[in-house]
Amino acid sequence: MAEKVAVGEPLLEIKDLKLEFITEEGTVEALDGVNLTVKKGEIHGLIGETGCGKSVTSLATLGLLDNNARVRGGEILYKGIDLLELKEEELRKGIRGNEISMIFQNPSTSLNPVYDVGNQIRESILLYQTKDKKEASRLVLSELDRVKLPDPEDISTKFPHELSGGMKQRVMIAMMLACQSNLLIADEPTTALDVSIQAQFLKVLKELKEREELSILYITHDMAVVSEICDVVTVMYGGQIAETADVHTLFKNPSHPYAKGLIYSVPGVMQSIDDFETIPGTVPRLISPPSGCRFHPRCEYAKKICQKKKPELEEIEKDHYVACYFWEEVE
Amino acid sequence: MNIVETKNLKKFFDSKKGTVKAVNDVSINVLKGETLGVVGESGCGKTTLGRTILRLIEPTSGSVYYNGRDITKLKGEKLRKLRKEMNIVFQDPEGALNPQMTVYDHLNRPLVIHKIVDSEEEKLRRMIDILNTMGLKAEHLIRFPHELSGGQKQRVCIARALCLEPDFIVLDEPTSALDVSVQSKILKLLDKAKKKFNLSYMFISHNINLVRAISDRIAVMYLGKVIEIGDTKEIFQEPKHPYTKALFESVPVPDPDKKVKTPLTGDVPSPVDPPDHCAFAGRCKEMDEAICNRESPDLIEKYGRKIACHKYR
Repeated sequence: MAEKVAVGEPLLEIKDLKLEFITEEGTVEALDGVNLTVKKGEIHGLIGETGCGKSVTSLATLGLLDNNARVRGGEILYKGIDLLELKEEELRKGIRGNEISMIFQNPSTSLNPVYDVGNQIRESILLYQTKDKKEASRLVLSELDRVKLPDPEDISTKFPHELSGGMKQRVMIAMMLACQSNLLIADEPTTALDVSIQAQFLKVLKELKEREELSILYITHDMAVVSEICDVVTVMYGGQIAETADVHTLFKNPSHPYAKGLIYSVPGVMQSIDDFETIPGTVPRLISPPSGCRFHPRCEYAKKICQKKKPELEEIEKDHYVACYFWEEVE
Repeated sequence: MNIVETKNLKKFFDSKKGTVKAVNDVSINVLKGETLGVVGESGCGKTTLGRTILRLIEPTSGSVYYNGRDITKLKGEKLRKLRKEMNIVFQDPEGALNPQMTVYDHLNRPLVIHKIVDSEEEKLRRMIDILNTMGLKAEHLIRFPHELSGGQKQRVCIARALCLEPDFIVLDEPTSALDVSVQSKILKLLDKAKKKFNLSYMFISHNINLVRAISDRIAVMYLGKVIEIGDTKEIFQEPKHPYTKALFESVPVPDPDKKVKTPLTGDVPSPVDPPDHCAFAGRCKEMDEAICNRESPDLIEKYGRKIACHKYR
């Protein structure tokens, strides 16, 4: 898969993805027609509350879902190839690592505690870049340098427990870079980090985007982080896409009632507690989700049609998509 | 008027590596009726400070005053009576509730222990009143924790803290485990309860945007010490201490037009055997070699707030 995708062209396109989990309690309709496009060289934020399907979407992309997951329709196109059609071995050899990498919330559980980090990065390099061990050891240092870790030579001999959370997360990024991935999926990568460490980490991601045209799908529920690093943001609710817009539009002019409620409940957008918005009700259980638009039971704009038919994503202005019948009424 | 005041409060823990100075000479006050926000990075001692004030952890030295009375040495019955007046809500409601007890049991325990109510009828009335304040209903009394959502569980924890009608509550990251929309709901309820019961809060959090929105005053901690404390608006408008400045600049704000410019570099140093001089000196952009690596600055009154930095002596 050597072909290059130009900056601004779609790298990953998820189209109408429907996915469910078979559980003892019943069928969980986890994703209901998810549409998502990550372009080359952009940081795409995927936000929403617990259980809205953010992580499921990313795991589906890498074929990492549990055995009880069933894809009911749709496709996940990466450089035009449907990842859902690939066999496990093709995914392992052709996609995971060398094309798409993923980092998780807790870097401590992603690193092997009994090998020094240089060793672990070298493993990726030997798999994807070179077979020459000396050359690989040299490359380890340059990868560590790329993620702005001070004194790479020293760091490469350290074991995970000797590094701070932020350093470990940067080692994870270095491993990803060693694989020469084009797309990074980051699932809440800074939740376990302190603010100052988070800021350093986000800076590294931004630089990689600028310098190396890396594309990132950034999953989080932290709106401040989203506004800091994302170019485009997609808001999910109950396994459906509510809104996709560039970050400025979304924060200034959210058009989906849920996106609006979500953004106006963030401390910092609202300066005083009296201004906080609250969304009535709670997140639905997806075993028997609400019909039509899954947000309708909590929505102040909902009318009959919202219960009956799921609104399709509509492009209300260039690159601004909203799935709501009454977006024009939302203030 | 202070509801809580600490004087030279210290809490040290012995570890294999050395002495962890979790709270190192902290003298602060919480005014009656205010929300004091306590911020800082992990390991700065904010949780230990909250717990030491409540006497959940015994201080190594220094004293805690509650309503002007020294409570550092209280024991037995007197300490137990004090527990009624000060309470705490923890970060993880999952761990703070007993899975085998219903909501009724959780609220019943403190009421029975402190012999607050005479009749079952009065007890129920009180429980339901507090549940209502927290946006829950009487029917929730018979529920078990696993039947509640995360937000509801935290509301039960707050109701439990409120049912003894305390005057002072330490809120230790009460919304960190919750989703944003649930968080805003809890914050509103806490605000409502504060007004209804005339409460004073100490709100511990690492979320600076959040503390900014809800606190009257704010205390910034670094490595066991309070390095700046004062009016929230004033401190945010013009942070004085170099660490406060750097911390605020490192925090992303939910506004795409405002980006982090100069993130704080380096890691938080270990609280094991911290230096005798200014602990922030190693990361400080305004460090003065002649003083900062030699002496530890005191927290002194300046510009209507308190700052611990050699720059502001």
